[in-house]
Amino acid sequence: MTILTSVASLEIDELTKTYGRTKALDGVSLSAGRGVIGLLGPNGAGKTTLLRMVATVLAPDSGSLRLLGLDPADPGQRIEIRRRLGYLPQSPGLYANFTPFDLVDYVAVLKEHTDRDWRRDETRRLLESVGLADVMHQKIRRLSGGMKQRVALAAAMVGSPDLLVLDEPANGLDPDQRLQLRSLLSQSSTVLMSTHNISEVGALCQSVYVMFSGRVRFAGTPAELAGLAVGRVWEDDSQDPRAIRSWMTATGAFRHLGEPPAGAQVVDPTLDDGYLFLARQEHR
Amino acid sequence: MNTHRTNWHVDDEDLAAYGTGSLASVPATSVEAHLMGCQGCRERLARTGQPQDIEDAWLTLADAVDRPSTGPLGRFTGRHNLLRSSIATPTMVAAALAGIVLVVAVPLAAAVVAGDAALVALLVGAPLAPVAAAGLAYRDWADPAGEISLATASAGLPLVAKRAVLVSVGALLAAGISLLVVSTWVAAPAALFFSWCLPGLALSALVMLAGTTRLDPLRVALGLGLTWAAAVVAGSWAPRSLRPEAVLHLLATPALQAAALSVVVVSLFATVARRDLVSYRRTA
Repeated sequence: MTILTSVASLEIDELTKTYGRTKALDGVSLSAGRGVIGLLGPNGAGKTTLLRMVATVLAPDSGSLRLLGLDPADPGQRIEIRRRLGYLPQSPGLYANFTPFDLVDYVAVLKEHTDRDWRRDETRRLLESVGLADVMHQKIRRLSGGMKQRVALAAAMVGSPDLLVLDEPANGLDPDQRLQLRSLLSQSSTVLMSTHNISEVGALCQSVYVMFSGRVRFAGTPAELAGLAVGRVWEDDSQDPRAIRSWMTATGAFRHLGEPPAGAQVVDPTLDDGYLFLARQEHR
Repeated sequence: MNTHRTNWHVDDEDLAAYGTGSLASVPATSVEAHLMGCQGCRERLARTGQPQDIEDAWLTLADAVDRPSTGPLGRFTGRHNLLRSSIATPTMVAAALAGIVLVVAVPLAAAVVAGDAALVALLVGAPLAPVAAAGLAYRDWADPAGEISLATASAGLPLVAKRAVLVSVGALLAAGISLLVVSTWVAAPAALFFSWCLPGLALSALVMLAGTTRLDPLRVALGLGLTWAAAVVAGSWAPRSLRPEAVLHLLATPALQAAALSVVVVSLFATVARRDLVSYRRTA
């Protein structure tokens, strides 16, 4: 038996993918072990394309992936990966005439769980853990957007997968449910999730990758992302034209990003500041 | 109700035994009679070991309610996962039945209407129905769990083929029965009514083969379908020898049927050989 702990859960090397003239992925490399990995970036940065490749539903034009030490390009190993994988797509498209119970049970069948009793217990456990115990026998069409999102999340987590791939998992969840998501995610050994919400990265992720235009522009911890803007954020009562980016905060003061002028009141950067600084660099 | 008070009360041991149903029948009758008139003992009974009983009762009830599917069909499909992943719920059964009915109803309805021109036009156009079905079978929205299904271990050709075979077997059975019915009042050779089956299967098999390439199966189905329709329309404007009746008779010739059969066989073999590419190489 080989020592599995030394194997990185995700080894992604120089992935490319082109749709027509658009380069969705332009040489993406990424390496990660256990833990929750966040994927940040604007719309169209290639996050969903990358996640679909990690979820084994899309093959790259070039480059290689190793997931849980296995190669998804090899049919046999791909099935092995899928046995240990959970996937929440961006728009799950659940069948509205199913109940949450039917749907999660059905996904469990597709995941080769043949024992009915096991499936029933697992389905109930998951729907309870996402807070849908009360509505598990109602038609999905009658559920709210956030509830549908949680049905799909429960389906993704059938069989406690070793690798969870989640495209915008917190979409439609209220703050309380986001907290629950955090404890749910801690049950899987490796989670790769994309998000628009930067504060989510700080709350959930041990490491973060930032993508722009099909490339990874930052890899590190959330603290390191915030650290990019150290000494480059200051606050003032009025807007400062010297700043590369300015916006009004909730207190009415102006927050500025850039090279602070002499005597400026420099403040500690947040994750947002780090991300905005990176985005600014990208667009220059 | 008897509300008399008495100096005798049920002792704790008997009360607990009565509560769990393990007290012998004679003392149990006596305890029951006493409980009828003694509120104090009734309250004590409520406190003895009951919560576990209630918990058990609820669990039993919840088990019954959450049983994956009920009814004879549900019990049958629950034991057979091949069926469970294809016709697990009434809605999926309805979809499968609709497929079968469509395949059979087209020639049957034409035969009943018996307008010669309409009949041949319908028969000549009939291969489009299975082609459309095969194309649609590859759409992610054709699955109750949408894209989630694509990342499961059962995804790919086995699942698509299982559903196709299920509908085909049903269609063959229904076709055989309707053949007998039709032949009782239509003079034309019964074989003519089903001469479109093999060409339809051939086109469908080509669509399945397209599912193993980078081509979008639905587009391939549309292309093949439009070509077929154009050929039929062109035939109706052409000299007498190429009119729909002639096309239909041409379809029924052994040479064309044999050609269609060989396309079916070759395409299906090629599809099976390339099965690992289903749902992976597609760009959709």
